[in-house]
Amino acid sequence: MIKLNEETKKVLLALSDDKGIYLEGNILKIIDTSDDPTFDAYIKQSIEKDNEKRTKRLEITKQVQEQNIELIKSKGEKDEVNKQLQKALEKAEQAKESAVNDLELMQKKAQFELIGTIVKVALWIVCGIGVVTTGMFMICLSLGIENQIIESAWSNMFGILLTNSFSIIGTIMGVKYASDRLDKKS
Amino acid sequence: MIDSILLIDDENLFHLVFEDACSLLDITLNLKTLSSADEAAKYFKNLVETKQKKPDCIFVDLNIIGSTFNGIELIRKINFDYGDGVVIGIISSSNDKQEQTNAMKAGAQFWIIKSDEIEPRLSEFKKDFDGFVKRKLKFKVYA
Amino acid sequence: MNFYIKNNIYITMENINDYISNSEELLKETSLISKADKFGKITYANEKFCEISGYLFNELIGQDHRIVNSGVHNKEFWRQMYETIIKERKLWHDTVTNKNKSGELYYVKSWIQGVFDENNNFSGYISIRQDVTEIIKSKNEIDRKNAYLEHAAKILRHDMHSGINTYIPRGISSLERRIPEHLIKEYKLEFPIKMLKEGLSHTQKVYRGVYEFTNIVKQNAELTKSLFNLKEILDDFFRTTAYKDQVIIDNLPTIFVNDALFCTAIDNLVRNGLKYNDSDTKYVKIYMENDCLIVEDNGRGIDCNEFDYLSKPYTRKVGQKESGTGLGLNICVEILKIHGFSVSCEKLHKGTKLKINL
Repeated sequence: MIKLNEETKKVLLALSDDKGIYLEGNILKIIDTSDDPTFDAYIKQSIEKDNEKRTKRLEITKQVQEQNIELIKSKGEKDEVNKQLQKALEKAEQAKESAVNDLELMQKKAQFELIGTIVKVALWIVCGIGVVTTGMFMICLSLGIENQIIESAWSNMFGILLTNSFSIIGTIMGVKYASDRLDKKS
Repeated sequence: MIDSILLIDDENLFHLVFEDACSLLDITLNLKTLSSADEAAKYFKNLVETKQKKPDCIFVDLNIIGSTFNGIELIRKINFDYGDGVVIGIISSSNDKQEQTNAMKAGAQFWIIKSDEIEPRLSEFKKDFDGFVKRKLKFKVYA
Repeated sequence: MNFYIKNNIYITMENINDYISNSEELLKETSLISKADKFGKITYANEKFCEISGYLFNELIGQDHRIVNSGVHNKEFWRQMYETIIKERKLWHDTVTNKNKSGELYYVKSWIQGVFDENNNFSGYISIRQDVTEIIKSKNEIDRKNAYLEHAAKILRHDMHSGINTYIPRGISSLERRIPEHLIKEYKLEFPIKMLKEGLSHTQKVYRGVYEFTNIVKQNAELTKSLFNLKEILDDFFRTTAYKDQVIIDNLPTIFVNDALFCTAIDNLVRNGLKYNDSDTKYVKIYMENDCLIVEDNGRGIDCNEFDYLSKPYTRKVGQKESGTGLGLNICVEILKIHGFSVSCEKLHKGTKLKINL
């Protein structure tokens, strides 16, 4: 036990009276207050206040500890949820990509088919005109009717047909090839 | 009042809890805290070699993160390797029976369960302390 | 400089430092170590001590060392110990019987030293012990069994003695006296009576051999010897055996022997020579050669290494088709050793030559 001198005791008592400042900490438990009831009362009061603070601090520390435990737990849960979300996101991305791929393929297929149809129709028209013109030319020839207009129309048409035949055939072949590829892809 | 206590626990917040609880319950005025078992082993070995005064009571956490060995192994070292029968035991949130048996074999005298009800357990321990010093009390779990 | 430490651990000066630094661990693992204060209260016990004594660390610390006292040793024993340690300040060493927590006895070789403080006052004890329970238990077992064997031998000697040496000889001589001569001749009883007498004589000799042998296995027994001519006693011994014609005995010296035991030993060698023998005409010759008694047979033959091996108790040659206990040769060699004779063996082209150095 430690003994404080009278001057120190006076200062401490004055501090508590004037400014409400009290000693704190474990030192209070080893101060000798025998033969001084006033100082003894002061020490008891200081201990009471110190205990109040300690109790409050203890409660808060415990709460912080609990919250920490909760936070760590939640963080763990959050991390778990994040992981699952990440997985779901990745799956969605993959699904979208495959859907987009399918759509593109379908569009391309449709385009090629359209081109194919157009070319086929054009071919039929050209062939049809050719057949009709040839027919008419033949009738004129057989009947001996004036056929200069039909002759020039027929020779022009066959000339265009022959000169462009390769590009028409090439277009048809290309369309056919592209369609086959699309079919294989889909 | 216990003259001096050494607490070994990796949770710094628990150091504060323990310090305030000890002060409020008049358990000790002299508390030293360490955060790793390796540090504690070195500290204790040094005390023994330099013949300094050892703590009257040692509280050891069961799982001390960042240490190469756990609380039970630390207790075994202090008792068997450094040759000292101090009052020593475990303070942990675990209540595992197998671990308690292992602790007893290593020379631990008590096991205090950590929770927000720590004060009544420490109060009871304070009453039993003398019995532990005189080796009259058997291994006790404060739950 | 090289040297041996106990238990044949061989170390050199170069690696002694490694040995010393590792020896602390070795000591803790193999020895029971404890410390006590000046009042005898245990202040430290290592894990080995806890394991052997059955007590937990906390059950030992603070307890009086008498916690492991078995009560076997008297006060004088402990008084001497305290005097050696405290008064004479010397290291005390002895084998101590202790008791574990379950009440079972265990035995430890103990070395206890006193600890003295800066003012040279006695302050405590430090003890190092080695667990020798298994060794002591085995020794006790052997002693117990020896005692039983001795007791059995006593009974054998006592119960058989009167029959062989009193009743049967008296019965035969009484029979001879009472049956008239003409009836013996009429019923041709000479041969059966002769067989009875010779059978009895041989049995008496064998019994004497067993008697003498059981005497020497007693503790602190001494061999009784007298001056005998070896040829005479061997001739007399073999005369009543079925294989007397197969034993050829040359001139032999007169020496101090225990006749019954010596004949038993030579008989064993002769019987071995005839038993382990595949020749058409089996024989054993006994003669002298340069102060050695030779027992030579024409059997299968064994060399000196085999002989040394078979001289050990309960050993037999591997794959031996003949029956046997494996003790005969061992007992024979022991008898000759007690007489102070050494035995060596030489394998011949056909047979074995045993040399007994007299």
